Amino acid sequence: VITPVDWAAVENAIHAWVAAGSGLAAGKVIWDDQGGPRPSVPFIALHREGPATKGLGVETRISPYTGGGPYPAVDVDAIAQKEFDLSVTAFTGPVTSGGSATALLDPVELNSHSQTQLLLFSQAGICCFDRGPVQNLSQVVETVFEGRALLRVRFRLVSGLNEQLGWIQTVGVVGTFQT
Amino acid sequence: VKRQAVPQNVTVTRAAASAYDVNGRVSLGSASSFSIQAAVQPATGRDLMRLPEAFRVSDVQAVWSPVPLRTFDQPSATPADVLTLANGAIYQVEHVEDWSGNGTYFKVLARRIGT
Repeated sequence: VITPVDWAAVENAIHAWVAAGSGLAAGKVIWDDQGGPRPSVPFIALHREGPATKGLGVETRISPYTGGGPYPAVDVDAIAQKEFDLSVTAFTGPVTSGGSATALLDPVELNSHSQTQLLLFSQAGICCFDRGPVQNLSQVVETVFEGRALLRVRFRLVSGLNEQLGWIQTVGVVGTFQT
Repeated sequence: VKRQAVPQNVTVTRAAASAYDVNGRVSLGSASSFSIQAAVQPATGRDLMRLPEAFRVSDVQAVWSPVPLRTFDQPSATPADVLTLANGAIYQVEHVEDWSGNGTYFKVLARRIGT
């Protein structure tokens, strides 16, 4: 039995963090790759990569299976530490200073260090452990600049699985056993 | 349109505007259908040049429609109209020319996306 990660709760926590830090309305912070419309600027697109299990990453706990059944068995619980990347991309008009894309993402990054936000991440089962720099990726779109900035953040979480394995209860010998 | 080519029955499937919820997830608009009589002919090489490069090797048909059809529109968040021709082939509207002032028709370039 695999206990799936509650990705909806994870995504909701991340979305709330970005919306609160950027000050944008909730509908202006979107998850990409959904085939939806592009909001008018300023807006922020979120993109998740992963997860990947890091290292061995598995701890096991073995206990007698108590669920009944035709044969004796044990419960094996495994927990994997996983890591995923988040790209936070801001899109704005061709402006500088406070309205720029980089200025939009700076408070988002800063807020990820606050004790309150770390607790909110924890309640969603994730831990923010690495934040990259806010990069200015402004581009020319047709004849004007579009302000773009990128913040990459890494998170860790755990996911578990449980499997029921049979075990050898008795061993018999047929014939003569010699030492 | 009827004087230029033999029209056929074309079903137009049109989706309403999409929107995002408070968690940034999209809610696609519901779709509705209506029928039009339109002339459908293969697109010319010049027509294909109006489309993005990746679409020029697709099966593209020129559709002369008596009503305006929609391409994908980012500001209004409406997806492109999807056309089902009389033979069952499915096309997506990629380009629309408004000739309603001179010829009372709309020339549409549609790219095949399904059987």
